[in-house]
Amino acid sequence: MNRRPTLWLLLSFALVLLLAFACQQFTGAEYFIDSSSCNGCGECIRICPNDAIYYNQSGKAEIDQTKCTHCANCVAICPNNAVY
Amino acid sequence: MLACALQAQNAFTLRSDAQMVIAQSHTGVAGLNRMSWEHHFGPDLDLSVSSTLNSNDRIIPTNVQKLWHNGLVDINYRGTDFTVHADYRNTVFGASQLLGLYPTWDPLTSQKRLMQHQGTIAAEFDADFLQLGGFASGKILRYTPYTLDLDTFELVRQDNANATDVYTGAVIKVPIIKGLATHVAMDYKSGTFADNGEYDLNKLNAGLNADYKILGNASVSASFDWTKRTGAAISNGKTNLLRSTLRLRHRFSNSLAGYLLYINNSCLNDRMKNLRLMANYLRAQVQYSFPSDPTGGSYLLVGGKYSPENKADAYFVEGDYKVREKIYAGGSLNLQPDWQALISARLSYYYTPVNELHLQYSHRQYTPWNNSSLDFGANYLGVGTSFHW
Repeated sequence: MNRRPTLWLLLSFALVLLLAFACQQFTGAEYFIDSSSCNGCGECIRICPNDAIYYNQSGKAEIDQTKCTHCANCVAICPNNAVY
Repeated sequence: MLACALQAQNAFTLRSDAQMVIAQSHTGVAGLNRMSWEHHFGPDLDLSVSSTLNSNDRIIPTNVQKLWHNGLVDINYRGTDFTVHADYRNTVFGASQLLGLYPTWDPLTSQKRLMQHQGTIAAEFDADFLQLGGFASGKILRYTPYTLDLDTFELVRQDNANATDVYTGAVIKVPIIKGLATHVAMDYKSGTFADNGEYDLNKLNAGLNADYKILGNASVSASFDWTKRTGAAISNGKTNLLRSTLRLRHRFSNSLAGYLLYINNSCLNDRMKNLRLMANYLRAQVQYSFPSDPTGGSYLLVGGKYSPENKADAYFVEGDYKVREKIYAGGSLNLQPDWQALISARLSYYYTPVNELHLQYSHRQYTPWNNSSLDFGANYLGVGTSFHW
């Protein structure tokens, strides 16, 4: 195993864990979509009352944070549980 | 699943479902009809077209229309070291519920949605030492506005109007060493329907991605992204978005595979201070494919996601099993404690290896606090079929 990728990987882990434990103070909600779980079915785009979700260049749904009002309808409608 | 797996070839597929909806306050019908066609014009050029028509005789909490149609035309061209992609998607809304028209924009105006169009062009160039990408996308919502007349307190229909959003972006990715790459990206979004630029957004993004195989059957990837967001809709406290992602994938055997994903979204203010949490997301799922069914059509998937900040937890199980020759029995459970529970069962008869008929029952139960109408629970009983040529 090459040492340098392992080193970078460990540094990445450390950064992720650092952020996970450092950021305990919650600020207002913003919803996001896990693109690896989204199948591009478009249900969230149809259901969004504020027209705040669009397809990105990969054909996956993405939330336009300038228009989202955090109603969370997309959370319930997503068949793949990709909204968080 | 079997039919889906075979759609990867040049193919035309047709799927139809009809369901009887039995809810506390009414009994009605719902339907789905989907046609899709995929064609490969040689090794470099792919085309796919699909048309999906949905209908539901009643507006329920998660359906703000009774009728809607989704269309898609998607073209991909792959050159030696570049790819070009173009697509057009639309949704045509029928019998739409009256919706607010972006509350911060004009609280006295409501709208009924008519159509939504989106077109995207994207290209990527891949040299060994560098990857370049860019895209442009335009989305148009066509709607009928209704304005509240303050003298009569009646909604007055106005002429149809359009709301347009334009999204553009470019990215440069540079591999540093094997398994590690860095990228810089710029995105610009313009909401041209608002003259004051309230819906415009600039994003400058930089990050690192690490991807590495371990132990032969497992891989691990991690990424860290910083995005500076500038726009009137983004509060100062959320200007700098920090996203950290960690993913572990493992194939335990030929039949069993799974992954674990953790994403942390945090933010800093416009002065790069006050680190705050926005959302945690932890997801794990495992899929077991029954060796007794070599087509892969018999499987069991178990998973869950944990996202407490946005009340988006979910636990899910789904599976399908070949009980006899040509007959599959399956079902699913999707429990979202803060929203709803969905249970379904399905019996499929494959009269050819790719064509089937099925009976399906599902039940949706909204949680009491999400009970925004009488239809907080509904049973769906239906029949359907899918053809593949």
